[in-house]
Amino acid sequence: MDLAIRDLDFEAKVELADPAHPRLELAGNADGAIVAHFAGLIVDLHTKLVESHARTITVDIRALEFMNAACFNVFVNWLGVITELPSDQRYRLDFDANPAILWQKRSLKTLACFATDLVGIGGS
Amino acid sequence: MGIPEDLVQQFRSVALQRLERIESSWASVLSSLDDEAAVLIHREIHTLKGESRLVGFTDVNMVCHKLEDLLEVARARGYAVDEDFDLAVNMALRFMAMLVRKKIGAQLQGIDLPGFIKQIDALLVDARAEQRMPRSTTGGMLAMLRKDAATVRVPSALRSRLAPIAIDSFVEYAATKGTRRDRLRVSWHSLRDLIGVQRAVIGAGQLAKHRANALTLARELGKELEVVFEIETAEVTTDMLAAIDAAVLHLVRNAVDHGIESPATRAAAGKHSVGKIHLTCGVRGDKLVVVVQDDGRGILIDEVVARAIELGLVAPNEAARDKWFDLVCRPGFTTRTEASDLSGRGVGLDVVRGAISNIGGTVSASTSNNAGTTWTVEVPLPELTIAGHVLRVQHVPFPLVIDEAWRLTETSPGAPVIDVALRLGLTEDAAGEPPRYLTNGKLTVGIVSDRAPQPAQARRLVAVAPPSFAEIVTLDTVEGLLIHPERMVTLAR
Repeated sequence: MDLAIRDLDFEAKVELADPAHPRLELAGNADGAIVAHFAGLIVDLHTKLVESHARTITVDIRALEFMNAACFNVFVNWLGVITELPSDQRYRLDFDANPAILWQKRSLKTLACFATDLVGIGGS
Repeated sequence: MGIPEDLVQQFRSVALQRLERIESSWASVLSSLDDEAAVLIHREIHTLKGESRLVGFTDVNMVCHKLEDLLEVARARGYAVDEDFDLAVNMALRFMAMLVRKKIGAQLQGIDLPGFIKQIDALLVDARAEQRMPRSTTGGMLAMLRKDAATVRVPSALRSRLAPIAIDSFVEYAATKGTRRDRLRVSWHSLRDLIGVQRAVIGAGQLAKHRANALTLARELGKELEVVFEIETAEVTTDMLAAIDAAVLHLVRNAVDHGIESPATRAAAGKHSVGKIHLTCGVRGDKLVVVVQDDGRGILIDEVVARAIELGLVAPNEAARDKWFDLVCRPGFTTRTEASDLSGRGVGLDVVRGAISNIGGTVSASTSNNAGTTWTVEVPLPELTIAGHVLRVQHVPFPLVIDEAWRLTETSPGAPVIDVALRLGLTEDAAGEPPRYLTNGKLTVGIVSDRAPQPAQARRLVAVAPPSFAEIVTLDTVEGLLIHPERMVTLAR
């Protein structure tokens, strides 16, 4: 299973080598053209994280310049799936954000309101 | 007493369906400005707000209120909202769905409702402030101009110079991804609103005021008058409407003031005491033709020439009778030595000719002593709708249209090939696929296209004169480019 997307101006990369510190790195522009791929990647990643009993994953979006609403909704859905897991299987999404990119701060703060116990925001 | 569980379940089911409908309608409104979808959204939210209150879902009710506020801002902006705003609406819908699903009586574990409301409020504050203050320098200046687009008339010469820039602006906007796309959209739309084709309808409703004014003026001048307007409705541009409106104003006013005689004069000349002005306006071939005819005294050409000599406009010995039309259309020219309150001020016919000339039209006149004057205004009708074929080309994120005169033809290996994506700079690599060949009877070209051309009606949005090879059009609500293959080939040589 290749947990990566390489589009013209968007890249998603998953690092699971260290089971205690899984990482998802997103960079570039995430728009309507990649939403289906991105959602597919998150579904596969979720499966891996549950299998590996992960407690948290770092989502590094420092180099993500833009994400449209459809793509960001993938995060909302992801969070929804996590909240429906039994409590001992749930894991946190720790976002590593770029304080210079304003949409990240606002969107992540709003996202955190869905599940304050499952979303962390760093870097801002 | 609690709400019966079956009622709550029913609410949940219906509410989730409503939220799905709202979400898909919101996408539809943003992508195609679907008016019906916009109405549905407002209705569904309003209903959901009421239902949630009835079953005690106060949290849902509260978010409904905020969503209504967001949608009100969106509506005020014509649904031209940025990604942050779009996302906020989407998240509000998802947030409500989460609140609807939660078990009754369950704690809002992990759900930060006040925080969510605070985030929406912050966005609303910014969005409302942004409505008052443009947000970026480029978009801001253009946005300010755009705000005035309804009242600012951009001169046609400037418009012609800006039109090719508008094409670049449109292509850049359409091809750009990311946050820059929002800024480029503001710039493109501002430019479009300034120089784009503004459609209007000319008909009895628009010109009727001149008939009423003519009758009022005749009364003031002690003249008896019958005014007949025969006006066909036609689609024109707002520039055309303004120019024709000005022309009719002056021509009718001149006819009443200068042309139609007093009842006594008419009677003495053996004419009916009631003068007549007959205006027709309609489409003749590819022109809009306005004719203003009066049965008054006619223009006294000898008097015009004498006045012109007096004003030094022609030499005393010059044969100037044939120039009478140009003379009466000169700025400030009048045969009256004392200006009346009206057309005698010498302002009018020059205005008519100038206004009509600016839209590519002509004014002519014929006059006959004691029989009256006929003014004819002819204006080429703009080709606002183009029957064509739509093409889809790889790397080009908008439809391309070609005039219907171009038809598919057999493969012509020697014909020039046009790769629009390459030409517009949307790719650096030439397409590998074979072109489709089209001919207009005079020229055959190959055009790289994913699909066979499909019939389409395009509406002209930003007209661009040759040698530009493209114009901006709309297909339904989607913006695209009308390309002129013959110009592309010529430019490539």
